[in-house]
Amino acid sequence: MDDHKLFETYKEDIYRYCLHMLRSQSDAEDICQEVFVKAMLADRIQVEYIKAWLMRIAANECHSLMRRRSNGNQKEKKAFSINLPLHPSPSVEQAYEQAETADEFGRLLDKLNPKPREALLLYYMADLSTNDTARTLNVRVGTAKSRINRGLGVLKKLYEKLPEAQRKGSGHRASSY
Amino acid sequence: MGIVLRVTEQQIRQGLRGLPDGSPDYEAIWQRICTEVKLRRSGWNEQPGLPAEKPTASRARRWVVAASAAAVMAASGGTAVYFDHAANRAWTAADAGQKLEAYAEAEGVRLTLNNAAIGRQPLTEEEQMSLRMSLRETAGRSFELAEFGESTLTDLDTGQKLEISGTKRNIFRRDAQGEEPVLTQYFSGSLPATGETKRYRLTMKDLFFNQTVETPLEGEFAAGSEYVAIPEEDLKIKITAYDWVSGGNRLNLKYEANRDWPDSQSGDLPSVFSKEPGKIVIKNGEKPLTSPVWGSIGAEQTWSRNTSFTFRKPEGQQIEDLSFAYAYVRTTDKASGEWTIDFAVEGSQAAESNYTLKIDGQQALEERTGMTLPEAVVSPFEVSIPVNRQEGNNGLPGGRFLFYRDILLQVDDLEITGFQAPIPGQPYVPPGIDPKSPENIAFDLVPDAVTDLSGKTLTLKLRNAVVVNEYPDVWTGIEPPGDQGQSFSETMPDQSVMAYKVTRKGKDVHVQTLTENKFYLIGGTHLKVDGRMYESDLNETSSKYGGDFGYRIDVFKNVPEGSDFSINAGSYGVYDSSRDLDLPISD
Repeated sequence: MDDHKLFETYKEDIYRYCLHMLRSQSDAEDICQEVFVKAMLADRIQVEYIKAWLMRIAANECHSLMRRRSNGNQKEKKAFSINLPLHPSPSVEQAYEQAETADEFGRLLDKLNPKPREALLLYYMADLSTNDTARTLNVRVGTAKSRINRGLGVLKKLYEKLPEAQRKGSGHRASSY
Repeated sequence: MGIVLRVTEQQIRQGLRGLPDGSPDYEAIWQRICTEVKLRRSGWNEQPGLPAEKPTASRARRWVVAASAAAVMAASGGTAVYFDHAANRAWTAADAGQKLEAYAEAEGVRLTLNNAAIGRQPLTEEEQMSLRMSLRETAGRSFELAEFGESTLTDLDTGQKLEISGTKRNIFRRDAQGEEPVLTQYFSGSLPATGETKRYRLTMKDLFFNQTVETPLEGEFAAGSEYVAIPEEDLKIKITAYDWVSGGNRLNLKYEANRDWPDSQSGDLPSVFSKEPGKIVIKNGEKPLTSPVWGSIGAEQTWSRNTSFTFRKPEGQQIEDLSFAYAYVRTTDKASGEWTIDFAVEGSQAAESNYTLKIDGQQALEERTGMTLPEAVVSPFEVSIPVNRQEGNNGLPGGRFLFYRDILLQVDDLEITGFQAPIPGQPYVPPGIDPKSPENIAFDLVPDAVTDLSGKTLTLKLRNAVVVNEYPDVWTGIEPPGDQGQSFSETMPDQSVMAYKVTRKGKDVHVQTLTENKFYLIGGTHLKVDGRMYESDLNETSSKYGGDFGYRIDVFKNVPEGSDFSINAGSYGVYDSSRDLDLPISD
């Protein structure tokens, strides 16, 4: 896979992961760029599962940035909002509904601690296996499963508190997978 | 996942997969990635805040293979790790060797040849001669950089022109004190031996004086606007994209020029003009405010007729307060003429900066490593330290010492990074090093044009010893490998975690071991099937170390189907900071 195809194939996964881990578009752009720069400079021939490998670089870069900002950085604490839908929709109403729901879902995710949040993003959003999620996070498989379950439990509770209309909206959302 | 959560899990899966991305400008990101990759491949290190021109007498960037690269390459098949040896240092070139103080004048400019020094070129056995020159009078001309159009050094006895080592450009930059502009240029071939004197002629032609000038880009700054960027060259730029993104914190800017960058061959333009093209700068009043995210202050590092880059908005800065300008290096004056200096170099004097210094603390070093470093061989361009040790296991507790990953030479309050090679028993040898040469630690002094260390306080700093651990009795039982990779892990007695991914590919079994660059595999993994040992095929072994990610893949050929599979990590290197040492170097 050449460099440009690599970027085109995985840019959304990497960027969304960075965005929802860092909660800053500016930081997400920086880290997304760094991930692909590193990937392009690396010898990828022997990398068997490129997506997991990229996600691992992204996770490490996000960790590094968050560590650097761990001392009460306001940027990390600042609430973020995303106002644009990811995918085009057939109608204005549906687009509005999906954007609202996605935005709400992003806010729910924002309430999770970083560890379960990254586990959920890797497992569900990036579609990694539990083994790859564990390896990406540098934890045992059991720990990764535990974080996924813990995040899922918290998210479930938060999700159930949403108004019915918003919960229903997510079921209609288009998916890129 | 548990059944109780299944319904919600499905919804949450959809929710997570449907998370928006805020529609970033992926094209702009891609452009910046390409630029950054190009810069890093070319050896550029981003140093925000530094002026574009360093006020040092540095030569072309030199790249040195770090000791850690030698280490991580030991497992073979990887890619060398390089770093910029000259980064973040600003030293004044010291006079060394034979003082000359000869000069020539033309057009009111005095070119002085200060000294000549001879010594071994770093990493080679060949000798070179450095000539340090300065511009001591320039008839009151104002300039940032001065560059001669041509430079030649001729052996007057034979007529032979000496070859210039390194960069061919003749740029005089102000030294660290900002005083006289200096240039150190290096030549090889036809040098005087000890006790011999050779006569030379240095000829320099046409001196160009260069300044950075700015053309204000006035009027509304927006996509579609067109500006005259360089009036005398009829270079115009048209803004094709002007977008504040990321909540107004970043400016994505694209522009295209009406012509290519001026060709230095087409007129009187010196090469500095063509190789360091212009850039857009954002200003508040007279002060440049911000730089592109990728690249040094105010400049993109590559120039083409279609240019794209991103600025980060300064904290608290209002967009409407910003102004834009096009900055470029322009030849503001030229002294047409020829400067000729005839001089003689006596081999012994020019080579007087070659001497040997004693390294203290040998007993402590030997106790920790089994090796000794008795002396440092100093030349004008390199400090070289021969390594004395016996090959094989040195019998030290806590693992066999291989080498230090980080080796520094502290000179007064500045540090130079060195490297150790060739490492006994390690297959990788950095480029330029003869694998059969004696083991050596080397520090390249050339990037700083430091040619005399006498009178300075020197300390050899050894950090992060690489030691070899091996646990032949620790075997990790695994399932018989299949087409789909299976993951297993083992925590070794030294707490290193071996994360294996095992895959069968036809008759072969591939074992990938993640190292995360916390350690590296030396000998490679071993595979045991139903009691029989298999060794990997070293020709098919591959590894990648660098950044935060590292792994090695061992390929075991013709492994039969079996029922009892297990893996041993083999020998691997870990870093041991308890063996760190500072060794004073004295006369």
